Amino acid sequence: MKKFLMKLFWLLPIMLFVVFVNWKQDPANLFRSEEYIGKIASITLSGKQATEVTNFDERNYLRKMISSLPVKPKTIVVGASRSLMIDQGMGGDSSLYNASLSGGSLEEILAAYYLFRQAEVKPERVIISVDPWLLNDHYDSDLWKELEPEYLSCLEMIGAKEYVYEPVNEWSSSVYWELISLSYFQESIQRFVRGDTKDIVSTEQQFNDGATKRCDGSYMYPIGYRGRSPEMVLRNAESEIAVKDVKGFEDFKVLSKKRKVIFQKLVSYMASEGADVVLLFTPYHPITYDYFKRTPRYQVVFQADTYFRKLGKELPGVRCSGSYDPEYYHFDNTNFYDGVHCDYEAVGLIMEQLVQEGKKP
Amino acid sequence: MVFNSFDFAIFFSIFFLGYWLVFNRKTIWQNSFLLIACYVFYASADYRFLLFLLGVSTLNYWIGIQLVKSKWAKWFFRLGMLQGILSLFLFKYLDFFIQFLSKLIGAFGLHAEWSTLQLIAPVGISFFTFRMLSYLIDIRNEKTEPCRNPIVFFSYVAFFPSLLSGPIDKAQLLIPQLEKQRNFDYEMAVDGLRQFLWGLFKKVLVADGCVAFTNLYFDGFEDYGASTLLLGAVLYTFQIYADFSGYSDMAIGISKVMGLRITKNFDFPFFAQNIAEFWRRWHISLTSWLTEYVFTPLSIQFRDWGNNGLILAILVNFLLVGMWHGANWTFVLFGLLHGLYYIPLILTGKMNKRKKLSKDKRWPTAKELMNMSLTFILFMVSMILFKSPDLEAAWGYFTGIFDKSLLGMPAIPISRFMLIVVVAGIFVMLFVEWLQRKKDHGLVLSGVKNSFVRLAIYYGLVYLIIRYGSWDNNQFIYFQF
Repeated sequence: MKKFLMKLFWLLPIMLFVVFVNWKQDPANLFRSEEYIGKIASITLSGKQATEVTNFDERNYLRKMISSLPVKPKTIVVGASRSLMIDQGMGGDSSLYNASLSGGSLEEILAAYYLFRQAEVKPERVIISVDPWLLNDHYDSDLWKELEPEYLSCLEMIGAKEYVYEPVNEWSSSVYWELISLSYFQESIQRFVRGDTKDIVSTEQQFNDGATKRCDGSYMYPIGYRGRSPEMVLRNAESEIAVKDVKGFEDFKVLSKKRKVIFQKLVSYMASEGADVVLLFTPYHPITYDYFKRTPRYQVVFQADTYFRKLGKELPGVRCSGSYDPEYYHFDNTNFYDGVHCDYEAVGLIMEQLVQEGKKP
Repeated sequence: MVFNSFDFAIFFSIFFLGYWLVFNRKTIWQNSFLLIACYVFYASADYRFLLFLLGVSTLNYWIGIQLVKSKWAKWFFRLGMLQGILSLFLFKYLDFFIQFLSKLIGAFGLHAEWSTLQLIAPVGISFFTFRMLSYLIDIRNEKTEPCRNPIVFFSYVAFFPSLLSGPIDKAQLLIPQLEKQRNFDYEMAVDGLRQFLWGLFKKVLVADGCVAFTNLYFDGFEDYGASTLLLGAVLYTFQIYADFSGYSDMAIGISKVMGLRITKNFDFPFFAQNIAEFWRRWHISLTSWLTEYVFTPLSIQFRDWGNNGLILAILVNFLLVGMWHGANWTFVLFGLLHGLYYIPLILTGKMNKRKKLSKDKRWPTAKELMNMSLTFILFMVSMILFKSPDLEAAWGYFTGIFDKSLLGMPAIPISRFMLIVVVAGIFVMLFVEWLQRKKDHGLVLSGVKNSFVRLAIYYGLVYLIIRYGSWDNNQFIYFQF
């Protein structure tokens, strides 16, 4: 037995190697998160853009930023990646701040709004990018846990106390587990092979080759993503629907009653605070939208659409803008980066319409 | 809890230490600890059916004893058979028959709209039910004695390495080993680790690497050209082999570490010279189970009909092989197709001929290679049925291969590098298994005397697994059966 256990010790160098590479490369900046987001924040707070940014803890960054914004924004944007590119140039408001988060869920919308209110920001306009998965109880992401305290406080603030619970500290959620993660090791090795270790750069330029986090909270994809050929975009859109669940639609069969109540309370609260609440529908790629239309299990998209529009009609101070349907804007394949994200110009057109609608009496 | 997960690594480490260092003094302690671990393992897969597993184990344990001491033995035997077959029928086949009967009656112009039950089948039901059926049949045929120790019997039924995806171990093999105290066998444990490592390579690098491609190709087959569909079929054939034989290797390896030998389930089937030989090397525990309890009795029954009787017995046998995999016409046709493949072999008297592969030769001869390729193609065609959700999709996929675009380049919608890794993994798997074809598994290194070379092989393999394997916890395909 002793001999056998001794043999197993030969695995130790491999384990140590994995830990070392993960620690050293840290492709998602997990172990140096504070330092990394601190760098981005110091650049963006000085009014410049931080480019060459790679994976970073967006939730923690948002917390840091909102608490230190030099100017109180009159317009705020909350949502997921589909609204991440909305910038000050589009919103008709030079104080706009975009608090959208990649993979953002309903919990994060509440948390972001609470962060603004905590920083004594009382926005005049709140643009909520209403993705269908906001009403999915099974949305497969726990990134929002990072902002759990703010989410719970917001529930109290908007009068949804019945949904407040005692948060549990999950030992399994510690980032240090990633030190022994084999999929993280693969990312680390890839980063090492690519030599993808550029440092963050401060710039005045809005458009850069690398991914850019701008001072207004918006995000600009790197040039490789922005410059995709139409064929590549099409192929990407096709591969995104050729999976069991389109991202965000995991086990999404019905609109969650609980989420509907929370969402309604949130927008009512925002409106009662005097904000012009805009529920923004951003279009899907024609391939994706067509797939939703003809697939029974994706009818929840249209149920969500109906629900949000009903709120826009019924609740005072709340209105809707846009559509999931690309045809509404006459968009085609060339207006997209992939199956779910419009390109920068398309987002500009969507926002132009939103601003125009806001001016109508 | 799949074998290639962090959870299992923790579970097995705790089990290993408890099994060999704490509870190893007495057989009863060892088996009690094993039984608890088996139930924890099963509960982690699906706790809802733990009571069911416990219930059917208790019933079969009791029936087993009644078979030798009760004057109602015949009726107890029938009860045991009924319970096993009924469980399978209820959980796996009832909805299929309801739908089939509704359609059949509808075809005669009558209206029958029966609702299905949509019951969730307990994980691994096909495996543990077959285990208990063979146990009772063997007692009745006096091939084995009933097990009188409930802990041993329950551990046999719920033996965790093979509980969810086989092999289907016979009572004569496992129960006597469980009745004796196990002492740690260094050579056996090390060999078990090697076999586990080889299974892990096949699972995470080859099988899970293929998944991304085969899912895309099969789900959207209408959008792809012939060469792409052919590539998808080839990849799926290797995927299912690497997945299932990888699981079996891991299960056997884990058992060896526990000091137990279980049934060998694969014997390098892609080197088979014809389809009959293929089935002697593929899912051996199921085919030998069906041969013993279905094919042999049937062929004896039909012996007066000559070759026709043999063909009938084979067809029934393979229909059951197909149906065992699930209640779907695709599986029925899968079984039937394999039964039909046997007909030329029966008519030419080649069904039971065993050919030894390239005796002492390093490489296969051209003829052997041709036979292997033909067997592979036949199996690959049936794999289209296996993977497709219904007959319409299978037919669409199959006919899609016969198109002039067959000569074009296949479409690779995701990373080409990933495809290169997968194809390289398949070549490594085939090459190593060819070299090791006379051995117990792909990583028997008895011929490599230099310990540094051995260490380099282990480290190389571990590195490839870690670096290029898929670690998204893809389930094993055979869990669903």
